[in-house]
Amino acid sequence: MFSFRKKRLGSECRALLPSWGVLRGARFSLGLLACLLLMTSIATSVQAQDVIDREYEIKAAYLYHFGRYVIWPKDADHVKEDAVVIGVLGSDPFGPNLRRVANRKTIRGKKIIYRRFDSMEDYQPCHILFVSRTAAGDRTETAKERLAAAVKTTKGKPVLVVSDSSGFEQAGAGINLFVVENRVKMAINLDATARGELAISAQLRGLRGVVTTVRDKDKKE
Amino acid sequence: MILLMGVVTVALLLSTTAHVILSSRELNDMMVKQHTTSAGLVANSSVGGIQFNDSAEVERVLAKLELLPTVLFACVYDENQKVVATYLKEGADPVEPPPVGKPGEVFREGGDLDLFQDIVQEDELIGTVYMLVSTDELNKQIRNDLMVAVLAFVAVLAVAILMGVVLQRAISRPILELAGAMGEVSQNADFSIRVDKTSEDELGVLTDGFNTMLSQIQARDAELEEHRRNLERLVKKRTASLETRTEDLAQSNADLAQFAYVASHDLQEPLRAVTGFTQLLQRRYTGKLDEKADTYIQNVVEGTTRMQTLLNDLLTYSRVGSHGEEFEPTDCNEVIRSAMANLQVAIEERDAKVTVRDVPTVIGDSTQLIQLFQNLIGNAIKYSERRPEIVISSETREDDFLFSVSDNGIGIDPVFRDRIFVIFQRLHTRLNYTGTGIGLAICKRISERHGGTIWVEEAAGGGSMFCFTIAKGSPPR
Repeated sequence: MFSFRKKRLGSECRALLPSWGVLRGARFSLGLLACLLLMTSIATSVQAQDVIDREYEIKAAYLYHFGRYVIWPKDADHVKEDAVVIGVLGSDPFGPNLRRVANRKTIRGKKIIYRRFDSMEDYQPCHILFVSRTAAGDRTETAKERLAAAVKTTKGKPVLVVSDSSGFEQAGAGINLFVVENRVKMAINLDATARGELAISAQLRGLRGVVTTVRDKDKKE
Repeated sequence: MILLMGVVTVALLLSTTAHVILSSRELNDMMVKQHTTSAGLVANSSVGGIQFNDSAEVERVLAKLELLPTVLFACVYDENQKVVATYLKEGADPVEPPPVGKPGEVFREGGDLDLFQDIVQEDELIGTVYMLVSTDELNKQIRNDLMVAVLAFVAVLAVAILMGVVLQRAISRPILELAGAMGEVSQNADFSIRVDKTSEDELGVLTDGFNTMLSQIQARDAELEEHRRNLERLVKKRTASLETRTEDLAQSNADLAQFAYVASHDLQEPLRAVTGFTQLLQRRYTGKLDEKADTYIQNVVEGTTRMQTLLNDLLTYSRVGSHGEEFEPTDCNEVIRSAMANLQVAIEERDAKVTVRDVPTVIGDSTQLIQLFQNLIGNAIKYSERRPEIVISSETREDDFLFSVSDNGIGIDPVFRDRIFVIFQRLHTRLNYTGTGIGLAICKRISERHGGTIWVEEAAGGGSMFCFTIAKGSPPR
């Protein structure tokens, strides 16, 4: 994970040197300084990248874990299938992680199927639908719009809608993931999940260190 | 007794040791089981915390271990063996989380227990639980157990010894005493021994029975002795009376024999006078007086002659016992020849044929033996209707010689076989056969004097076979 960051160091260094001939002595020290600056920035970006990388690795793991801590109603259509379908709406931020999970792991003996949709028009029934922050391809809708579309299409259906944008637990998502102090935490909207007839295991809800349970702020009377 | 106690002690020791070992192992197992269960609970409760990186939650779960005072330290690792949370018992020394080991329990050298347990969800390894368990309590329990066992051992042993002593006194000793008494009785045949009764229970009954039995034996012994003595007395008396009788009989026999001899001997003289003078009368006056007188005189002569013969025979008979000679080796061939010489006239007259088979030499009175043979051969010739054929043979046996004289005569009715040997017993009248009836009686006396017997059997062909035995080396009567 960390090794290929160091490689870029060398090439960055060289790109910043304009010419060989004119200031050879100064070039050297300038180059050195530039390299040092870059190293620091890279170091920090490595750190930041580190979290980012780990973030989606962790989030992919969470999606997989949700399969064990969320209880789908028994008589829903796609629950009868012998696989658990995890879908991603928008561009896939997970890198290889979610696909790796899908290939290697099982949930309650069922294999995991990974699907990705550009928009809800391509939607196929999923157990868990992750609404990505970024749009797929050259689409332009916002994350919120995407979420709204997802919520609309999956209304009444037993689909766990997961998002990772701030505040989206009040925007219709069942579980919203966010990063605080280098830790991936989540907010679970019990009303949203109840609408999909989903039950959240007490074991998950009880993890007070990472889980906050919320209800819809504006409840319809 | 000591051997038995030794055995009991060893048995008790073995059982106590076995118990202690088993019980301490049980305590051990129980402790491990208990903590394994706790670790399992911790594992179960910390799955969520590990998966969602909620270390606070895992810490909270571990904190519950304070309820288990034996747990000194515990920690949870994630699937990458990184420590998620730890627990340290209040007041315990700080412990470094050890590297993750294989699931199971390992007792350290110091005695404490290292326990690792995998955290698993659906066959997937989520993490590991580690617990450091103090064995102080366990050791204390085991020590207590051991102490109790030792105390119990000592107590039970003491009771066993006590019981042994009591039982020995109450049961073994009396029985051994009884056995000893029995041994003495049988060895020395002393039935006067008695055993003291020491209790009224079954042993007392046994003792009583034993004593009664001995008394009975003694009584019977005394009875037997009494009987024996009586018998002895009786036998002595009878023997005495028998002896007296025998003496009397012998005396009377002797008297009779004496009398017979004296009588016949003394009667001879007057009889000779009568015979002589009647014969003279016959010579002088036959034909001189009338017919009747001749007949009378003839009868008298015949009568006196007969009387003479009778007296002679009687004399001979009585002489067998009293006038017997010393016994000396006698060749029977000679005896028979002499007898036959005496019967020469009769043999010639009847043209008798006498065959003599091997006869031995015997120890006896030759004169009497001649008489014996003479009588038998004479009878054989006399009591026959056709030409007499007589066979004399003998057999040498272990204690005596058996002689037989068999003829082809008229035979003897089995009914009279005993009577003929009685003095004066005749089976035929004077008219058929002559004789005084004393011949066989004399033969009987002679053979008896020689230590043998005489009897008659039927000979082959209807005649008689007279058999008699002569004892080997018999003393004179």
